[in-house]
Amino acid sequence: MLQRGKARTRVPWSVGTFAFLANRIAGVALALYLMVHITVISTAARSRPGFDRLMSQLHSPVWLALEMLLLLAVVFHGFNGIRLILIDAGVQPRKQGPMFWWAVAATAVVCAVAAFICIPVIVSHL
Amino acid sequence: MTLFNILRYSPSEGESWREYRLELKETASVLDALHVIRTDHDATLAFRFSCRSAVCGSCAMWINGRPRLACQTKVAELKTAQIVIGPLRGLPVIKDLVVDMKPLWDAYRGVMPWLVEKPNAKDLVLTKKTSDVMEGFYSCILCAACFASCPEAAQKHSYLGPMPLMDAYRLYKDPRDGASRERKQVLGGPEGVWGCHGAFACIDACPWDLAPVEFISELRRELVCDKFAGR
Repeated sequence: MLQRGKARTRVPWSVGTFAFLANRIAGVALALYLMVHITVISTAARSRPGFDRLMSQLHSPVWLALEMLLLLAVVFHGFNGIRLILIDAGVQPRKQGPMFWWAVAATAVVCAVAAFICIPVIVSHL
Repeated sequence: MTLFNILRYSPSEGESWREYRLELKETASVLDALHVIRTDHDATLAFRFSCRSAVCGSCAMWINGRPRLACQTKVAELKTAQIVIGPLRGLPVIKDLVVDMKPLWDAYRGVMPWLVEKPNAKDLVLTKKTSDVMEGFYSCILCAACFASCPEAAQKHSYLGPMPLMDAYRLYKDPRDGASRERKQVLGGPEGVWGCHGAFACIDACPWDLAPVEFISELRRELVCDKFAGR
């Protein structure tokens, strides 16, 4: 039998591949966040002083800045999810590239508005 | 003068890049260039071709970063002084630009690409409407460009891939077919339509401008509707 060369499995980056990867990373990050969130809140909620102490810690500028990242992940995952639902519903699969950039643009707008509101709060906590 | 960088492979020597400088006519295709290389520079260069008119799908290869048909791709239209050519991705290489298509044919066989006639199939009329729905697949030339560009098919060998799933759609919609239960089992599994993770690379890769993902999405909807309808 002829010896075969190894198949090259790396395919070029396309908008769709990037969108898939970004969506997967955001999804895994949100799943991890949810687990940490439920664990932390359920542990802290056992006593009122403990809960108040945790809340004051979470109002530090670092945590508030991380919340901005959380918002970014939530909003991007949401908008890209709408894009995928539309494509699965048969709405313009050939326009998946522009639809991804629309999702990115919508995410940027929402995050910009959120940053406009949140950054003064973060600065006030410094 | 155009520089051709070709990824060569032979079982005895392994992989190596070779350079060829060619003076070509303005109308020359990449396939013409490969013929010039084989005739004037290196008779050992191996590549597949047959019809020279984008119908047989034999000359699909990796050209400047994506799968294309060598006969359909004009050197001048690439608008680069250097053209990089390699074998299709995701498929084992036999020699130079010739790949082993077995993984694709195995996946294709997996979707049962034949009509399993219903007992009364001859009495059933294939309407124009149904025929139009199935028509998309008839343009497919089985060149494997979609299969080679799909990151899911390249990484996960059990995934059936864009072309076989597109053909499965044609048979799934055929009213004369009597194997819908068997087809549902294959298509509804993780190797079937749910294995597509939506990279959509197959749309850009198809030299005949087909969009396998349209058929995959349609099959997903059909399978979900059938499930709810208890069919």
